Amino acid sequence: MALSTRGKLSIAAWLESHTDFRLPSRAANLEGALSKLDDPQTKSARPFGKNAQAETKPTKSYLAQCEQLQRYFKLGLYFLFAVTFLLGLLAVPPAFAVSSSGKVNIFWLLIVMLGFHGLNLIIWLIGMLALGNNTRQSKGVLLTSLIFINNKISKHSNINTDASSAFWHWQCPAHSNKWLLSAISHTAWFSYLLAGFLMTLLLLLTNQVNFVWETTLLGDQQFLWITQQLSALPHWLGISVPNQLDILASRVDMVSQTASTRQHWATLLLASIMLYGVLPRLLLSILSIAMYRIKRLTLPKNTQEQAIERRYKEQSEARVVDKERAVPSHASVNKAAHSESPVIQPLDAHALGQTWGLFEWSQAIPESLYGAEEQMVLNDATQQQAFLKATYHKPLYLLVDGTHSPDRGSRRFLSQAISAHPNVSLVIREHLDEGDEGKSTSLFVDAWLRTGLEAGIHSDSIFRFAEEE
Amino acid sequence: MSISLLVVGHANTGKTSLIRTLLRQQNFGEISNQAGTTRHVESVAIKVNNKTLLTLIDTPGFEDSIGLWEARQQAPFDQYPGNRWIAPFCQSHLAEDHFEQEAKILKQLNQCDIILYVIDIRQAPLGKYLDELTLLASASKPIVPILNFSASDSVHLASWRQVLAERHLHAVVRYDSVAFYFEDEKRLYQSLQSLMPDHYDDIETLLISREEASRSRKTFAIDNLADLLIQAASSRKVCDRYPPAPDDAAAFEQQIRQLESQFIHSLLTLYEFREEDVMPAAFSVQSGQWQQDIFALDTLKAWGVSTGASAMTGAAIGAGVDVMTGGLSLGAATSLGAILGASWQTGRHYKDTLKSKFTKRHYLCADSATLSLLCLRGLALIAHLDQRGHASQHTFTLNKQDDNDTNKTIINTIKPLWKKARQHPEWATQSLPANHALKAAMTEQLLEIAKNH
Repeated sequence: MALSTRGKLSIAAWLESHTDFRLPSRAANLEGALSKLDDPQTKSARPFGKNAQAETKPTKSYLAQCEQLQRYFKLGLYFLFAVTFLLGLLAVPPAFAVSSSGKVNIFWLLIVMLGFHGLNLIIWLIGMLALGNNTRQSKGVLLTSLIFINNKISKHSNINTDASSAFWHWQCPAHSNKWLLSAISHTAWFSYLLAGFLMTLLLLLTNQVNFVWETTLLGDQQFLWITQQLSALPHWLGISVPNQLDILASRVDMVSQTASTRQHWATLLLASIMLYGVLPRLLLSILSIAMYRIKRLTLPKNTQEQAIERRYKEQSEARVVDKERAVPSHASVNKAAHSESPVIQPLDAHALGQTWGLFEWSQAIPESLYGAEEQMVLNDATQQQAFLKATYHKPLYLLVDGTHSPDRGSRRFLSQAISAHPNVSLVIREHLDEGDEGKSTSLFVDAWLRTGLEAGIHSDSIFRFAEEE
Repeated sequence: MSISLLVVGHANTGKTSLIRTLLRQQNFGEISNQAGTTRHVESVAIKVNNKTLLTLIDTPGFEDSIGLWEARQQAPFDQYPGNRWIAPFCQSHLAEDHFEQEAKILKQLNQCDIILYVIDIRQAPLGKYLDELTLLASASKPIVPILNFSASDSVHLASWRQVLAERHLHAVVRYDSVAFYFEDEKRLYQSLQSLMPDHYDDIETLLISREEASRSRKTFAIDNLADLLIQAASSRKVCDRYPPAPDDAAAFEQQIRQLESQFIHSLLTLYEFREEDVMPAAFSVQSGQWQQDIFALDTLKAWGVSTGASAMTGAAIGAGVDVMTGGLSLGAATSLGAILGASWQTGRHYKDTLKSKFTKRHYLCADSATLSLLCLRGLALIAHLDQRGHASQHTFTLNKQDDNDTNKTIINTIKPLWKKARQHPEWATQSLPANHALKAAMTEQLLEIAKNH
């Protein structure tokens, strides 16, 4: 049987929070994302802090491993019920074989069938009351044992320990563990008692026996009282039960019994096993299974499960509308130019007194340029056109900011500038961080150098102008 | 049809970064410090519950808008009014050659509903930017200016506001590709709602979905931090002597570090960041000697409940035996069962204390300084991831936290809770449910701290 979406979500959440397994960051919906669990190529994710080499690398998908475990779990349960059924079949014949004279010890048969069952039922009831709404939520004996066994046999099976832990945490969550244990216990007892009932029926059908009660400790009155208490419910349901005479006639020393006495005892025996054993266990088993399923269905989602669900609530779908033409990438061109970049010379102090154009200048004018022959800000088309058209007699310097990237417009302007003023020099201002051992904070000094070279400015006319911030 | 938002701006102003932040995706497009990183037009549809609510279109940046504006003013394009010049321009040789990137933007202008114009406010409103605004205005579409890099003060903010106001662009949105604030994103969606009233409900759905996601992310992060603190506080290691041998101390240190790594890992998954986005700086784990607080109310209460249950179970088994002997045992089995049950549970409860007394062994546990550090580092990481944009490229170093008054107050609030957790070694390997009293109290306190942090 395939795992439900909730089961897959729980397994994925466990794997995500305990290993480096990841569902795809984007998927059309939750089901689509969870299909990664079914990916046969999925390798065993590495648990936190564990050596990758120490882990097995099964090629089976997580989902396949979990489904295999689910099958094993069911097979294990069927085996357990088969064993208890067999025990039930084996428990009855000794009571019939107590005496070779065809006598059946009623007291022994009732203890074998109903005594231990009643004791177990009381312990179960106390256990359930004691647990109550216990919020300790510890793993519990069942889950701990299953994980332990799994880890021990994982070397010999092809099931990864992470997959098994994830599966068992889903199959036996602390929230519903007590109901799972109850369901297993009641079904096992149901199977035992049913087998006992069937074997008793079979033996009573094929043998004529006298019913006796052998006890040293209990007196006549006490046994009479016990039998009457047992008979109350069958009698109320209209089943013929032994009367006082039948009971007294079953003393071990009484040799013969009438057919009606035997029949009364036989019906009481069968009715008691059915009404006090088989039926209550069947009802409790159904109740426990129902509770286990309800608890599993209403299992609150943990943090990781909710996070996964939310991840796929919102999706995005990207597509290229207008693709890039197949030309050498910008980055590779830049990288090539970068490898050939010459060293930029520092600016000579005498240049500060010359004519300066501050190209696309966002900062305050540097104080060192206050003594310049002329400073012009070239921030818009009008200023740039005026600069290109003017005539300058002094050496001309174009100052650019190394903290901002040059662009195609910068290259066009530099090309126009070198055509209009062949003696123009490019000065790249570089900011040095006072607090960080004078480290440069200007990321685009090399980019400006390349732009200057591409625009036709000679490398001898490109300078670095470093200033501390 | 969903609203189509065209994200434009000068090269290297953070258009792709804005989209990554809005998508909460680190793998959308390509970003770098180089101008012209994006050289194609890519659209991405945002869907909530399979319904497309918004389409974002990423474009290459303008690189020569002064040149483009000059070309638009020259023949033959100067004869076209309004946006009619765009089509002939896109078919001209200029669009194939020098203005290829710009032509890609212009082609999208007629298709979109709203233009998001991304501005790098670290630069003044230079002529090239004003030309871009003029070119975009010719498309006759609503423009929402996005002021990028707003997390730090900029001297150009006022001049940008002025320039935009002169162009009747009053509804500006502040944003930062590194430091992201949900309130900024909310303002963007509210601007869209006022510009596109027909799509009000769609945007509201997206806004609610984002708000829910933001809230639940924070709650889950705090829940994870509570788990970390409880597990670290209840973690122990057995050692032969105290102070411990270096190997024992190192192994315990590793155990605590492992818990923190797991916490960081789950937070990165939760916020959809990569492992390399956070680098936890090494810290020294100080181990103390674990001692059971025998008279702590919590310990006594837990002992009382579990002992009572065990005594009842023992008594029930004994009662069974009494019944089977027909009362001959005079109820002795019941009494004996109850005594055995209670003793077994008491022994189990105090076994570690008894064992350490008899075997002269010691238990190491994380001391308060280590737990304080884990708590402060956890809160710092949550605060960082909560405001980290998905376009951020820098690695966050999770380092030692200051010992200031605020941090001291935080620790004093949480300390009593981890003291309780220390008494429960069984919690070291499990995640307590949200309704567990101690976890609920710790989550509540941490949420309160995170709100004011």
